[in-house]
Amino acid sequence: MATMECKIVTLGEGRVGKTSLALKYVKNEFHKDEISTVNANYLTKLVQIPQGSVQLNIWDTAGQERFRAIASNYYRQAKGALIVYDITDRKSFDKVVSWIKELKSQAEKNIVIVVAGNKCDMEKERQINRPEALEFCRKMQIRHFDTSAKSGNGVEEMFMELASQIFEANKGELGQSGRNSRRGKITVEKTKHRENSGKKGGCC
Amino acid sequence: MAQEEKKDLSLNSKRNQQILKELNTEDCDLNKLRELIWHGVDDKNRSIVWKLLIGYLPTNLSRRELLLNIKRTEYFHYCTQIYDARSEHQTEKHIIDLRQINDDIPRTQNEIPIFKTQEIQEMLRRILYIWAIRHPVSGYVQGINDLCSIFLLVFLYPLCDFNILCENGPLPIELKNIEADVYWCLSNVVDSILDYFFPSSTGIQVALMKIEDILFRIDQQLMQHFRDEEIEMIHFSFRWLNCMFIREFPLNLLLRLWDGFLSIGEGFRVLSVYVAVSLILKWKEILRKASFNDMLTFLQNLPTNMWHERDVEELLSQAYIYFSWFNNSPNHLK
Repeated sequence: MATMECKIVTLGEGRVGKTSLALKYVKNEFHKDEISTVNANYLTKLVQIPQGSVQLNIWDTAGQERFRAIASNYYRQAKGALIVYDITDRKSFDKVVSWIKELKSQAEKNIVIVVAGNKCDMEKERQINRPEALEFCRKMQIRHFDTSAKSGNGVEEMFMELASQIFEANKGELGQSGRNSRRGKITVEKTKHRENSGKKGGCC
Repeated sequence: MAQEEKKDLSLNSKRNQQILKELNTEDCDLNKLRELIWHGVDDKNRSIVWKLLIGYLPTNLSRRELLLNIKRTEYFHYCTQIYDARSEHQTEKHIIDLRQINDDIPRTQNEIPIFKTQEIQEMLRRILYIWAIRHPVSGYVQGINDLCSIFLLVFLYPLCDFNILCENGPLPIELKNIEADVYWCLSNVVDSILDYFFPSSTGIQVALMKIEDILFRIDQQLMQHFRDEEIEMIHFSFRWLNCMFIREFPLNLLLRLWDGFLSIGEGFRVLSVYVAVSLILKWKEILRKASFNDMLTFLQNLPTNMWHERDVEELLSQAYIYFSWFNNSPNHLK
């Protein structure tokens, strides 16, 4: 059966659980106070779905605003995006809207997006009304999952869904040669600070 | 081997005696201290040696107490004027910074018990907030919390009679003074790499280009492989520089690495670039044969858990060699 290799990216406000979800899924690990991500972590996992197999190459990006400009380099050429919010934090849900907008205008046209309402083990502190979140995602035609990286609830199911949707959306390209953006290039904005550029000559 | 270890031990104790002697002379010779600390310093003396080399303590022994008092008093003023009175003149930016700091505090050194205590968390909150307010161009940036934690550990160490790396215990009564010292040392060191924390991290981006440029001059083939596989420096070494390798090494080895940074003027800015170069070249044989996924997974999870102090010393020496080749010779090997 065919294996499809694809790049996906995690997006969302800081401390909503992007890294925890990815780690839970890939390594079945959970740390209560997971260290903050600087720039982006890279994880991979081979997923078996009924139609074939998908190698998910996950770019788990940092949530701090400062890294937002860099994040755009990671979702470029991505086949899938996982947007995460924290159900106990209203402002992290508001951020989901802006990420969807940004992806729709900047990312690949057929990018598959799923939304995770994470920390659903903390139901008592919930700030985002569940029907509201569902209704919002239904309108956007995006699948919504209740997840808990802590208990593992919904995690496997969400990544499986992401993998199968990506498979369906890209199966036309299977078998075609080329490296087909499995990673996507990260371009650093070249500044004019590059020292000694152009000066060639003997050493010392 | 046992013989060698014995020799090492006696060399170490001799060096520590020399360091102690230097610390107690009326006018401490920083160059001599730098030379000595290049080979490491024991955990008890590290605190004072670092404070001197960072430029926080004056070299003159009799002026130290007075200047310490002045600096500490100044910091306590910040505490009242900036931190305690924060609600009186808080802008939206300040609120965002404080929120981010609050998010990061429970995630700082999360495996070391004292970082779970309220006292230490409050202390981190004050230091980071005051730092952010006094550095409006960058504001608070993730990674500064990591840097801060290192000074805190090093300065606390000689004053605690329990193992602060794995135990909880009574914190020293001088905690407030330590807080001030941590603030100033953090400020001094971060000032030397301040553009790393500017919006869009310009300083880090320039440093990454430098790393790539030097690697290209040393091992063009390896760099061609990086390019073929589309691996870029930013994928893995951004974090190295943003957190000054804190996330890449076990703590005891990290301190040894920082001894090296402090023994060279502007070491955090200059030597760190060559440390990055040496780290990559150390594993060139593995990297050369690996493909994108394996390369990146490796570079983001360096196998330093198996390392000994010797390995860090080797890394520093190699970095110093490259530093002397390239730092003042922009066209070396071009």
